[in-house]
Amino acid sequence: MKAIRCIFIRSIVTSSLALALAACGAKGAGPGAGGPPGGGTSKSTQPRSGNATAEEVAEEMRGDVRCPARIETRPRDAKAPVDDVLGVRPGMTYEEAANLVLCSNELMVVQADGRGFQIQTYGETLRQGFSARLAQPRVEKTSKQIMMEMQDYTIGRSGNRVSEDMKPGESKWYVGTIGLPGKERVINVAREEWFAAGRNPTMESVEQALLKKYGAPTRSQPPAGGQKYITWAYDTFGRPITETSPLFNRCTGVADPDGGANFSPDCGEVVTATIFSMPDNPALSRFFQVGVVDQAGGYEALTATEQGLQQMDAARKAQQVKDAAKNSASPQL
Amino acid sequence: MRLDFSLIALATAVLAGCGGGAAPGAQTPATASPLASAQSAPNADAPPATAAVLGSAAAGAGAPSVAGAARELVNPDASTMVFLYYELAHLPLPIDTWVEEDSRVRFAPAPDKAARRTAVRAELESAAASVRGVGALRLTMNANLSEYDPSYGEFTVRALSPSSVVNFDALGQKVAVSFTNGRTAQIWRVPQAEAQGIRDKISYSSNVEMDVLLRIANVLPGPGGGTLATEVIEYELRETQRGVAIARVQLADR
Repeated sequence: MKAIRCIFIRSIVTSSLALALAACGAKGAGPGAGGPPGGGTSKSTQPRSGNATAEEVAEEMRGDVRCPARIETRPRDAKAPVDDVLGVRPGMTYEEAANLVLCSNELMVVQADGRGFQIQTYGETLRQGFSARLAQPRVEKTSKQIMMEMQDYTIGRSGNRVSEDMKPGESKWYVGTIGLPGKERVINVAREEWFAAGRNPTMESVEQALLKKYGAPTRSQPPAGGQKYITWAYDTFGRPITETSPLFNRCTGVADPDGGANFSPDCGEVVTATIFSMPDNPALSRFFQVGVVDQAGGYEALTATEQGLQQMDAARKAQQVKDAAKNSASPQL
Repeated sequence: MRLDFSLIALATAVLAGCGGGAAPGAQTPATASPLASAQSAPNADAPPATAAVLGSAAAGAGAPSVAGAARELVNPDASTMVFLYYELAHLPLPIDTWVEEDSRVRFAPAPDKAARRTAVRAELESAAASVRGVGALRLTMNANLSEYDPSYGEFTVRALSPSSVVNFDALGQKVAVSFTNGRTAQIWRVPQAEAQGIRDKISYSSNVEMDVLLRIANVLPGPGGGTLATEVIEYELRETQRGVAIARVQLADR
C-alpha cells in the first residue's frame, strides 16, 4: 500500500462586508497588502456618510479607473483552452483583474474579500481575492427603520421566505488571488449575472453563447431542478478530460461567486457554468454563473507562496537572533 | 520487502514541489518495442512518457542528485527516511531529544538509564551515519493504476501523480516523498491493441504494484519534518498476486 493524497486547498467562504474600497489606475498607489484592492486610489479615505445615489457611491469607491484596462500579463496561448470571464483569467495580476472587473460596469465596485486559503501565512497579510458588485445607494436609516428591517428579516426567516441577494440586471464577481505580498495573481474567478426584468433570454440561447465562447464541453447535464450545469475540464496538459479519464469525476470547478474552490495538482483548468431558469418558465433564463479555476496553477502558486512566506519568516527570525546578539541586554543574576 | 504506507488525505496545503513535468530532454527516446512506440505522443500536447519493454531499460549517464551522491536506499523504513531528511537538509540531528524520548530510556529503571542512553545514542548515531551518500530511493508500492483511457491511449499510474506523496513518520518527524515529474511520470501510454491484453493480465487495476527508482532532487524543510522532492527515473509494473511483469517504463537517465 502506498500513500496517495489528493490535496485540496479550500477557500473559506465567508461574506465580508469590510469596505476597503478603491480602484485601480495609473495614478494608483503601489500594491501593498493593506492597499486598496484595485491598487489605485479612492477619492476619499474619510468615512463616508450621508445619503448618496448608487452613482455617487460608485464614484467615491472606484476612484481613478482607466478603461479599457491595460493588461501586461502574457495572453493565453492560442491553442490553450479559453479560460477567461470577461477577460479576467488565471495568471493575471491582482491589479489587472481588479481593473478589468471595474471596467465591466460603471457602477461596479471592488472590495477586499474576507475569504482565505488554508495556508500558513506566518503573520503576513496577503490579498487572497476580492469580490465586486454594483454600487448600491447609501441611505442613512433611523434606529426605528433599522429595527423594522431586523424585525422583517426575522419574520421572513422564520417563514422560510425566499430572499435573493441579487436583483434583475445586477452582476457580481469573486476573484481569488494568491502570491507573496504585492505579487498576488489570479487563480480562480467567478461571475454571476442576472438578466434584466422582461429581457430574459432562453436557456438554450445562454447555453449556445457559452458553447460559442468556451467550445465543446466535457460534461453537459440535462437541465434539472431549474438548473443546467456545463463543464469544460482540462488536464494539466490542456487536454479535455473525457468521461474515460480517471480525472473525470475529480476535476471540478466552481461557477458560484460565493462558492469555495478546490485546487489539486492533478487537474488543469476547469471552466464551469450554471444556467438558472425562471421559476415560472423553465425555458427562460433568470441568471447564470461562470467560473474558472486553474487547479494545478493555483496549487503551485499556493505552495510557492507558503514556501516563500516560510523563508521570509525564517530570515526574519535569523535577523532577530543576529540583532539580539548585538543589542540585547544581559540578564542580571 | 514491501513498504506499508498509510493513506492520508490532507485538506491543507503541502509543501512540496508538485505539478512540474520532467524536461522533455530528460526522457529516454522511445525504443522499437510496441510499448515504447506507443509512448509517442499522438499530439503535441500529450505527455511524452517513454517506456521500454521488459529488460530493455537503459541506464544512461548519471545525473547529480541533491546530495551529489549515488548510493541508493531500497524500501527504507520510516526512521531511516527521517535520518536521510536531516542529512540532506543539513539540519543538526536532535539526538539528545530522541534519546530521551526513546521508550527504552524513558521507561528504564533509574539505575539503568545512563547505560540505556549510551546504547540508544550509539544506535541513532550509527543509523544516521548509514544514510550518508544516499541520493536515490527504490520503493515498492501499489501503483494505483487507473482504468485504461481509450481517449488518449493511456493508463494513469496514480501512485506517481503530482498529488501523490509517500509519508514516513518516525522520531516525531514527518517526511514526505513527492514526485517532481509526476505530471508526466503518471502517464503510461499503451496502444489500444495491447490495452485489452494488459487489462486481462491484471484483472483489477488495484492488482498492480511497482518498483520505482527515484532520484532525490530537492529537500524542502518544513515544521515537524519536510519533503524530499524526487524525480521518477524508472518504474516496473507487475501484477500483484502472481508477480507477472507487465511493463518497465523509463523516464530519465539514471
